[in-house]
Amino acid sequence: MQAVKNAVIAAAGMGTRLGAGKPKSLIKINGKALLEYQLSLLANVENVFLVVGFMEEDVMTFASKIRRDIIFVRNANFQHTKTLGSFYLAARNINGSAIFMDGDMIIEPRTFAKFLETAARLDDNELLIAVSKRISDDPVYCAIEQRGDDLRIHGFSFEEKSAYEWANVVYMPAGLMINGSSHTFEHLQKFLPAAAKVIDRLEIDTPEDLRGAEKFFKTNDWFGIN
Amino acid sequence: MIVSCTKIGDVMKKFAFDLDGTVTKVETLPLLAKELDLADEMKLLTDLTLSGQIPFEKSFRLRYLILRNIPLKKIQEIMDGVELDAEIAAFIRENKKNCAVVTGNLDCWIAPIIAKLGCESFSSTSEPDEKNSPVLKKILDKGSAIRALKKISNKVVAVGESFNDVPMFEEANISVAYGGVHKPVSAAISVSDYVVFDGGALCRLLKML
Repeated sequence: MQAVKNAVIAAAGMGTRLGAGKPKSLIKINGKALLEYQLSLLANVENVFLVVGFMEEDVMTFASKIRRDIIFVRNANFQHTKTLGSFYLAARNINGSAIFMDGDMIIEPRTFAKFLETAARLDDNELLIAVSKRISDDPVYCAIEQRGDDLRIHGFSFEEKSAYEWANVVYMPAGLMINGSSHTFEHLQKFLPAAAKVIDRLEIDTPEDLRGAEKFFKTNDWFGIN
Repeated sequence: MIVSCTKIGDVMKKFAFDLDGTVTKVETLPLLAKELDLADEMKLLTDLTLSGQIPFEKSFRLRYLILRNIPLKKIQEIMDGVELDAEIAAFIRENKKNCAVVTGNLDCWIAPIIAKLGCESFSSTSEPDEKNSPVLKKILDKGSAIRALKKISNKVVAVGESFNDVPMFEEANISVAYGGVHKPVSAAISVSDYVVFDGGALCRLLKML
């Protein structure tokens, strides 16, 4: 068993739907920035790559105070790329596998820890795709087959409804990332079927999401802070 | 698609390090100026140069003219005591053949540091006069140093933090802005591929590139 060594967080986007006038990763929820929640999940991962773009210096100044040894990857073309493009910029120099995660959500730590444990047990060339119980308004559904505790994902779809949706987190060999303009899940389609694991999460895309998250944390203590 | 990962032992790969504020934990010229009780003035001049408010060449000529009043032996003694970033210095020593220091600083002034690191260097050059005091000959254009390295290497990685590292970053295949001593200037960040603030993280990144 080899512990997960590399993690990539895509935080280059403008977060326009949130309209906060600052990068989404710096938005505070219950007094803690979105990025702090994500970094706290990766305390035991040796190399953390944070892809920055929009207001990059603000993000770097803030993030380096939380974790000094972050490797910042610049996506100067952030206005014209999707998450996959940001992932690729970090992936191109990573040897071995990495966790790739979108920076626009809060993930529940216990389910994420299980995801890390499962990822560490995989063979070198295997993928582990995170799915979650449906939370999005416009979900990417996942066709899931369950065998005991093990889940396998067979496909992504906007139409074929399912209880699970794509969670924007994947553990995979960095060499399989490409520099594309498609959605990450469209690229992952090539590698299915693959192992899947459920994580709980909250997406922060809109002002409603933000209010919803603050309300959610009044009754759900994911981070032991209440 | 496979991501290529060249071994560090590959002589084709070159790492070009800025010296002051990257390999050294302090800017060395203000430290030297303490000898003349001009440390604050030198720091002001150095800060303005780092941020690009005055051109490096003119500023260095001026700083040289001030500091040349210190005996060379004393300068080398001070330089010998300058604290280095332990992790970067160790990386350079372990990968001597793949590393070069690229600095606008003067060859005979930095000699004790280069001797400790054991790698090649590109710097401003001097010739000794009849009293063995260095006479400034040529101020280094960092871009030209990278062009020279590219003739023997297919992958040059530049590491620096200040305004005069911009030409180096523009020529290099991969550029890393390093904020271990102070935050890299915005101009250097804007032409870099990676930004790191920690010596250990920098060395882990360099091993991956």
